[in-house]
Amino acid sequence: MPKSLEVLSNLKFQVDKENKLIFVWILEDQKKSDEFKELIAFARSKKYKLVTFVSGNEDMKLGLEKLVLNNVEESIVERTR
Amino acid sequence: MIDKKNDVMGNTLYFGYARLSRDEDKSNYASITAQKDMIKSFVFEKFNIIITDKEIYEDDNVSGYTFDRPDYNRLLKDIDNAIENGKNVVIVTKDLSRIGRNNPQTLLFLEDMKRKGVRVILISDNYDSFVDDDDVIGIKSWYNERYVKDISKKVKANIRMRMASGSYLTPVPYGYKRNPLKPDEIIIDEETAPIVRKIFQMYLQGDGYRKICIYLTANKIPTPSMVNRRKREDEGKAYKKQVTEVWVQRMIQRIIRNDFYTGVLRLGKYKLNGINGKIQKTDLSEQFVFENHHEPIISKADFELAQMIAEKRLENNYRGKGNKHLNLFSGFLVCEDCGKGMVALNKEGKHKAYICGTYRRVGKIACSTHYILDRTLMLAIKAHLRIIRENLSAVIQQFDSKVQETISKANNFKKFETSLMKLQAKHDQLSNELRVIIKQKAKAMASNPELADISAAAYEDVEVDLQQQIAEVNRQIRELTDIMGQTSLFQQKAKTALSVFDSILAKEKLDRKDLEILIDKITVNENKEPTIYLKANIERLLRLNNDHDPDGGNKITVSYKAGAVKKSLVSKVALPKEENKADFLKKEPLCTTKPDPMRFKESERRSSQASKATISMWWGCRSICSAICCLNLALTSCRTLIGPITFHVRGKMMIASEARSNLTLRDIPEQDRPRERMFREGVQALSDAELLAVLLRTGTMNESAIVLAQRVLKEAGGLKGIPDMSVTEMTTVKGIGKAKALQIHAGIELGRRLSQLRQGDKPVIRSPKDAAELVMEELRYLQKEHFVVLFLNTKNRVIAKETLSVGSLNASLVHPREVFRSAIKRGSASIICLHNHPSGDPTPSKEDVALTNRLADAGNIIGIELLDHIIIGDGIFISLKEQGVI
Repeated sequence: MPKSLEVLSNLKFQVDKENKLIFVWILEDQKKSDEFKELIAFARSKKYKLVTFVSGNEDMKLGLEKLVLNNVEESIVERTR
Repeated sequence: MIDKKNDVMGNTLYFGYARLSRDEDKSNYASITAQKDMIKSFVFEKFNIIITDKEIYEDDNVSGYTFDRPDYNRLLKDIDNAIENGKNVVIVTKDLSRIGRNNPQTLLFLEDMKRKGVRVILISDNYDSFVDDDDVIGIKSWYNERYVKDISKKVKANIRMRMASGSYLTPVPYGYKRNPLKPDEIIIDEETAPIVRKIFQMYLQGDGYRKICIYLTANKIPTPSMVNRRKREDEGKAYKKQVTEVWVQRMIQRIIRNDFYTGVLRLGKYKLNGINGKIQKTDLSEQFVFENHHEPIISKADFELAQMIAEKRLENNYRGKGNKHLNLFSGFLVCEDCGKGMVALNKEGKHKAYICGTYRRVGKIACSTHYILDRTLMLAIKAHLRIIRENLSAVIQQFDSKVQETISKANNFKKFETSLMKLQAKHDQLSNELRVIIKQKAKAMASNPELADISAAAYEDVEVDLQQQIAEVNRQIRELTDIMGQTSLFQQKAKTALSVFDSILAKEKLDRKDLEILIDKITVNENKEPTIYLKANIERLLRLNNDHDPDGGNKITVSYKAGAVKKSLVSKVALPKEENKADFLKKEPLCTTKPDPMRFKESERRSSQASKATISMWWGCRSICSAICCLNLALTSCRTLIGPITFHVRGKMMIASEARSNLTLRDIPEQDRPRERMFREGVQALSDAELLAVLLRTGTMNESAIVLAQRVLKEAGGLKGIPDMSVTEMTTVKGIGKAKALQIHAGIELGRRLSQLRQGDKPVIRSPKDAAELVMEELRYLQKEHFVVLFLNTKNRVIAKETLSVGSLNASLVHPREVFRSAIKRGSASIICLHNHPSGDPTPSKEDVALTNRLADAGNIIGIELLDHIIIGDGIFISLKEQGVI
C-alpha cells in the first residue's frame, strides 16, 4: 500500500468543545471518503460545526517561511512606525 | 513549450509571433496562416532551420493596442525561460505592427528584448535588431499607433453622426423591441411592457428594489438578459453574455432611472476613456436627446415621482464607508451553493459575520444565509496554525537563520536618527521664532505704553500658536526616542522562528496578508459550515503521527479510523462506534484543544453576558414560553432550565438579526399570496409549489411556505417524486416535521382516493356483461320499462348514463332523435342502450328489434355507433348484438 493511501485511511481532526467546533484536515480526495462522511454525520448529530481544511498544492515549507518572515517584517515595521 | 528539435540545432531558439485583429482584416481570416508561412520560410532561408507551428505564437483577433494577449504573454515567459537556460533567442515576426500598435509599449518591448540580448527580426520592415540601428523604428511604431487611433477616431465620428441623427444603436431596453418590419422604429413589447409598468407601480407604492426583485423572481418573470437571449436566438444568433434568472437590484434601478420609458431617446450617455479604456458617464450637455421619440410606457409624472423617491432614498440610505470595518475574510468567502462571494455584516452590538451575497441582494428565494461568524473562522485558522506549530516545529525552526537575517537587514537606526535631527532642528527654529516674538512684543509694549494692552493681545495669538507647535515637536521627539529604544531591544533580543510563530498565534486577529499566505478560499455550505481551502499541501502534516513529530509536542491531534475503536496512549482517539458515540463528546479526551496562548476572553465574556441576558430575558419572555418553562421548572433543575430558555432567547435574537434579509409571505403583496390567488383565480392558477405551500400552511422560522414547498419538490425530484417519499424521508427535509410530512401524505392520499372514485365513475365497457352489470341492480326490480343509454367515449369508458324514458308495464317509448341528441350533447363516441322487462324475462320483442335497427341506422348516419342494445331481466340479460340483430 502506498504511503498516501495510508494517509487516506485516516482523518486528522480536532475538537473544540468550548466552541462546539470540529476541525478536520483532509486531502481533496478524502472529501468523498466514508470516514469523512461519517464524521460529518457525527458532527451534525452532536450539533457540532465541522470546519474542514482541504489541502492545496503549494509547498508547505515555503508557505510557512513566508508567514514567519512576513511577521518578522511586520513586527519590525510595527516597532518603527 | 520549447521544441527540442529547435533546441538541438544549436544554442539558439527561434520563435515566431503572429497576430491579427479582426477589426483590421475582417475578410481575410487566413492572414494568420500567411504570417506563419512567411515566418517559417524566412527562418528556413535565413538560418536554414525548420520551425513548426509550435514555435510560432499566435494571437488571433486581438487588438495590437493592448499588450495583455495570451500568446504574447506566453512568448515572453518562454523567452525568459530560454535565457535562464543559457539559450540565445531570435524572434521573427511579419512586421512591427504585429508586435503592437501602442507606441510606448512597443518601444518598451524592443528595449526589453535588447536588454535581454534577444534578436528581433521584422521581415517586412527589413529590420534586424542585431544588424540595423533603431532610428527608424520609433517612427514606424508611432505610425502604427496612428493607424489604430485614426480608425478609432473614424468609428467614433461615425457613431456620433448616427447618434445625432437619432439612430438607436444599442439593444433596446427591456419593455421595448424593434419593429420587425422597420428595424429603426422602436415599439412597445407587449410581453415585457406590463412588467415595466408593474415595476414602476410597485416602486411608486413604496416597495424597494429588493422587494421588487423578490416578487419578480418568485413569479418567474424573465430577466432582461433572458429576454435578450431569446431575441438573439429568435434571430438565429448566439447570445454570449451571461444570463441570469434572478432579478437583482441593479436591473430594477436601471429601469426606474431610465427616462427611455417616458418616450425620451438619450444617446451618448457613456463614452470610452481611450482605446480599450474604461466606460465613463458623459455630461448631460454632451448627450443627444430626442423627446417623444417613441411611445412611452410610463407617464412623465410617474417617472418624475419615481425619480424623486429614488433621490430621497439615496439621501437617507447611509451604507457606511468601506474603510469603516475591517472585514478580514471578505474576498476569501464564497457561498458553496450559489458560488457568489459573501458579504460582511457589521451590526453594532452584534458579532461580525458574513452572509451569502446573493441572499443579501435577492433574499432566500435565491439562496440561504450561509451565515458564518468571523470568530469561528478566526478560531479555525488559529487551530490550523496550532496544529502546524505542534507537528512541524522542527520545520519552523529551520527558518531561524532567515529570521535573524531579516532582523539584521532591518537597520532603521539611520532613518530614526535623521528624523530625530530634523525634529530637533525644527524645535530650535520654533524656539528662536518664539524668542523673537517675545522680544518684539516687549519692544512694542515699551515704545507705546498706552497701547500695551492692544500690543499684548496682538502678539498673544502668535505666541500661543508657536508654543503649541513646539509642544507637538517635543511629543514627536519623545515618541521617536521611545521607538528607538524599543527597536534596539527588539534587535538585541534573539528572535527565533518559533517565537515569531507563537507571536502569530498570540495575535488577537491575524493580518490579511497572513490569510493570503495561508488560504486560497473558504466556502460555506448551507449548514453554515466552512471548508477552508489551504494553499499549502498538507499531506506531510496528515502523514505525521504524534510519535513522528520531531518536536514531540502533539498533544492535541486526534486521528480517526472508521469502524475502529481504540485510543492511543498519547492522544490518538478513534471515533467510537454508534453505541459509544453519544458519550463521545462527554468524555475528556475529545476536548483536546489546547487553550490559546491568549485565552479567548472575549468568548468568555460573551458567554457570561449571554447567561445574564438569559436570566433577565427569561422574565420578559415568560408569557410566550411559559408552558415550556413551567414544564422545565417542574422537571429539571434551574441549571437545565436555562438551556431551553437560552435556546429560545437566542432563537428570537437570531430572528431579529436576520429579519431584514428574510422573506415571508407577508413580504409578498396580498393579492399574490397562494391562498388569495387560489381563492381569486381558482386552483388551476397555482403552481405545484404554491399548491404544496397551501397544503403546508406555514413555512419555517427562516423561510416562507412557498420556499419550503420548493425545497420539498426539489428534494423529491419534482411533483412525481412526492408520493414516493415516505414520511420519514420527508422529515429529513429541513423544515418538514412529522406533522407537515403527514399533511402532505394526507393530501396525496385524498387525491389518490378521489382519482379512484373518478375512475370508478367511468367504468370501461368491454362486453355486454359489463354493461348489463352496470345497470342490473338498478333495473331488474323496476315495475315499469326504463330506457337507459350509456354514453361512451372512444375508449369505451362510460361518460354518462341517462334514463331517457319511462314507459308502461310492457313498453317504453323512445325516439332515436332523443337518444342521439343526448349523445351529441355529451360528445359521445358510441352508445349502448338498455331497457328492462319488468316481467323478468329478457326475451326481445319485435318492437325491441325494430327499435334497435332504427337506432343502429341513425347511429351510422350520425357517426355515433350503437354498440349494443341489452334487455335486462331479473338477474339475466340478452344482448341484441350477441343475438346478431346489430
